Amino acid sequence: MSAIRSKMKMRGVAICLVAALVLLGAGSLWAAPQPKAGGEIKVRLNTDITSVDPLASPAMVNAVVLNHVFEPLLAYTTNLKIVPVVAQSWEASKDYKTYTFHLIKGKKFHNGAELTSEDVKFSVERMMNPKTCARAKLFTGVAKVEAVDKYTVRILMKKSSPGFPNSLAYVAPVMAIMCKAEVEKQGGQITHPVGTGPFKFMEWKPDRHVILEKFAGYKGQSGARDGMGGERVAYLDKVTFLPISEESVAVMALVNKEVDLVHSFPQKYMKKYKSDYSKQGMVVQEVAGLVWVGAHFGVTRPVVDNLKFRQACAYALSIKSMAKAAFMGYATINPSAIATANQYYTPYFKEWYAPDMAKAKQLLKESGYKGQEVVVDTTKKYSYMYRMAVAVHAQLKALGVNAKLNVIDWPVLLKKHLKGQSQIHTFGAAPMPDPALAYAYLKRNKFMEVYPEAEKLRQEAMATADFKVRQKIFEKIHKICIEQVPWVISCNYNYLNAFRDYVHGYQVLSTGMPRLWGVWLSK
Amino acid sequence: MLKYILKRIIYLIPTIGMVAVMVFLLIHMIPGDPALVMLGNDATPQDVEALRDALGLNQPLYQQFFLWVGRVLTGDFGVSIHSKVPVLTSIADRFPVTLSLTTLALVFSLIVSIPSGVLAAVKHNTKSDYMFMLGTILGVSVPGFWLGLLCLLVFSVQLGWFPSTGFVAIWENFWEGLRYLLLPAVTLGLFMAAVVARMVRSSMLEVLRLEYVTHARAKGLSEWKVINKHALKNAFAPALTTIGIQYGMLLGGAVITETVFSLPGLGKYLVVAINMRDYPVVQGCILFIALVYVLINLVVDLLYGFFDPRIEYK
Repeated sequence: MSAIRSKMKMRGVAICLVAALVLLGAGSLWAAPQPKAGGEIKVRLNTDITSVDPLASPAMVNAVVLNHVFEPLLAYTTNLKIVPVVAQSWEASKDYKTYTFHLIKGKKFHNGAELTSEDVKFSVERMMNPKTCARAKLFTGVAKVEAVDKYTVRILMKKSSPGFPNSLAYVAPVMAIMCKAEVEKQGGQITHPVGTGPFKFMEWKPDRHVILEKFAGYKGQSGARDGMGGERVAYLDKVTFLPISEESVAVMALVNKEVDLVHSFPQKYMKKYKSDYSKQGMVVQEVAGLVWVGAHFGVTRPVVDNLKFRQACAYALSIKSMAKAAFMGYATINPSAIATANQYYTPYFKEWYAPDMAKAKQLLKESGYKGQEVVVDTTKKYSYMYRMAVAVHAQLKALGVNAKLNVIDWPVLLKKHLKGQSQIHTFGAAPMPDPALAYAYLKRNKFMEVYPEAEKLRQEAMATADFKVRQKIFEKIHKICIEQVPWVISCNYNYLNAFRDYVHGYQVLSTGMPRLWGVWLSK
Repeated sequence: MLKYILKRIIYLIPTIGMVAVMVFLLIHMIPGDPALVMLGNDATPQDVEALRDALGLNQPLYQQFFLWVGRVLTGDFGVSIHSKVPVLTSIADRFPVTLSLTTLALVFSLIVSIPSGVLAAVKHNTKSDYMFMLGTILGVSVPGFWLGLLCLLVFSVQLGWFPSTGFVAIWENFWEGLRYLLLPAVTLGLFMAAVVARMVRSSMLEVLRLEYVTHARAKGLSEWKVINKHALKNAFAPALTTIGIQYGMLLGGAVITETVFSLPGLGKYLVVAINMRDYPVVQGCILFIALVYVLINLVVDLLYGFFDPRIEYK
C-alpha cells in the first residue's frame, strides 16, 4: 500500500514538475520579446537636411535628425501635454511671469562636459536672437534668463505668459539646449553638433547620409516613454539617415531592405502594402497627425469677401470628399484647427456644414454672384494640396461657380498665403499643439482684421493657462469659423510609417516626428 | 593652334557674361521669396522682411547683380542662403559625382551607339536596320524619369543586382562605386546613345556612297578595314559635334537622373536650390555648368582636326 502511495506521490511530483516546465516554457513564449541592444537602422529622409544647427531652420527634416542629438527643456507627450526633458522639474509663478527649471544633475554633453545652467541660459538667449534662431519670435516675451545656481535656471517674462512652455517644447526647430563652450569653439557656425541626446552626431555628407551613434554616457528622465517625454534608451548602435526624395524609390528601398524605416509612407502604396508588402515583412503604422488641411478663403478678396458666397461654398464642399481626394482615405475628418489628438479637442469641433447643394445654390443666388472668375490656387510641391484643390475646383464648378484651378510654385503659393492674396487656396498648416497659435493662421487670410472678435478671443486664450477656460474660448472661435467661413478645414492627415518587421518599439507620433530611442532590431 | 585656342577662350568671356546676366535675371524674375521658403509656413510678414534685409534681398536688383558679379570675378560664388556653406565648396563636393555619372553615361552611349550605327548603315534597308531604327526611336522617346524607375524595379527590386538607393564614390571604392553608378548611367546615356547612333548611321550612309570607299574596296581591302579605317573616321566628324552637344546636355539630364537615383550630384543640388529659391546656389551652379558646357565645345572643336585633317585652326 505504501509502495503504491509512494508511486502515486512520485507520479504527482512528476506531473507537477512537467506542469511547471510547461508553464515556464509557455511563459517564456508569452512574454514580450526583450529589447536587444546593437545594430544599425537606416531611415529614409524625404529630403536632405539643410543645416546641423538645430535652431537655424524650421524645416521638419532638420528636426527629425537633430531631435535625436539635442534635447529641449520641455517636450510634448503623446496627447500633447508638456513635460520636462533636460530639466528634472519646472514650475511657473502664479502670475506666469517667472519660470524656474531645475536641471538633471550629472547630465553630460557628447563632448563629456556637464550640462549646467550657464548652458541653458546661453541656449535660451540663442533662441531669442533672430540671427541664430528661425523662430526667435516665440521668445520675444522673454525679459531675462538667469542662471540661479549650477542646476537652476530662471526665465523672466515681460508679461504674464501662460503659453510660454509651448515655445520651449516647439516641434520644429527643436529648441535645443546646446553646449556653450562648444558653440563658442565652433565660432557660432555649427559644423559638428554636440548635444545631450541619446545619439551623438558622427557625420553629415550632404545628399548622401547623416550618421548618428549611440551615446553611451546618456543620462535622462526615468518613467515610461511617452511622446517626446519619459525615458530615452538608445538600443541601436548606429542610425543612418538617407535622403531619398522620390517616394517610389523609397518604397523600393524598403522592399529591398536597403532602408528599414520610411516615416512618410505614400498613401498610394497602401493598396500594394495590403496585398503584397504586408506578406513580405513590412509593417505600416497609422496615426492621426496634427497637420490640418483645407481650403482657405481670402476674406478681403473680390467675390470671396461675400459671406453668403463663402457659406454657399461651405455647403457645397464636402470635407469628406476633399480628404478622400487628397489622402485616399488616410486622414481623420476634422473641420477644425484643433487636431483630434490634441488635449483641447472636444466633440464640438466636429460641428460643420452638412453638404447640401440646394442650400448652397440658394445662398449663391442670394450672394449676388454673377459668374465672376474665382481662382483656386494650389501647388504640386505637396501633391495632397493639389489633389484637394482638384476636388474643391470640381465641387465649386458643380455649384455653378466659375472656378479656375491655378497651379503655382510652392514659394509663390506661400507668399500668397502669407499675404492673403489668394481668393481660395488649399493649404496644410504646420503642427500647432497650442490651438491659440493654430488660430493665428486666421491672420493670414485677413480674417482677424475683418472679424476682430476672433482675434480678441485668441488673445484671451494666450493670456490664460486655465485649461477649461481655454477650451471654451477655442470652441467659441470654432463657432465663429462655422458662422463666418474663413476656411473649410477638411481633415488632419494620418501619418503612415512603414518599417521592416525586425524593427521593434517604433511608434508613430501625432507630431510626425520619428523617435528612435526605445527602438531595437531583431535581425 | 595656340592662337586659335586663345581666341576661343577670349570668345568665352562674352558668352559667360551673357549667361551670368540671364541666370541672374531669370532666377530673380521667378516669383517666390527665399526668405519665405526659409522661414516656413508659420512665419510672420515681419520675420520675412527682417530676413530679406539680412540677406540683402531688399537692395535694388542692379546693386545685387554687380555685387554678385564682383564676387564671382574674385572666385567667390557666394554662400548658400539655407545651409550657409560656400557655393564653390558645395560645387566642388558635388561636381565629381556628376562628372563620374555623365562620363560613364558617355562611355555607355558610345559603346552602344557607334557599333550599332555603323552596323545599321552597313546593313542598310535590312531587318537589322529597321530594328535599329525602332530601337533609336524608343531610346529618344522614353522619358529618363520613367526609365530610371523601371530599371530600379527590374534590376534592383526584382533581380537584386543593383542597389536602389545610396551612393559610393568610384574614387573611394571603384567596383562598389560602379554598382551604384551603372543603372543611372545607362538611364542617362540611353537618350544620347540613340541620338549619336542615328547620326553615325546617316553619316556612314553618306560616306559609304563616296567614290573613295568604292576605290578602297576595289583595291581589295577587307570590309573591316574599309569600314573602320576609311569610312568611319570620315563619318565621325559630324557625329563628334552631336557627341559634344549631347555631353553638355547630359549635365542637364543628370538633374533628373540624380533625383531618381538619389545621387549627391550637382543636378540634385540645383533642383533643391531652385525649389528653395537659394539664389546664390542657383546662380553659381548654372554659371558653372555653362562654363563646363562651353569648355566641352571647345575641346570638341579642337578634336575635329584629328578626325578631319582638312580642317585648319586659324
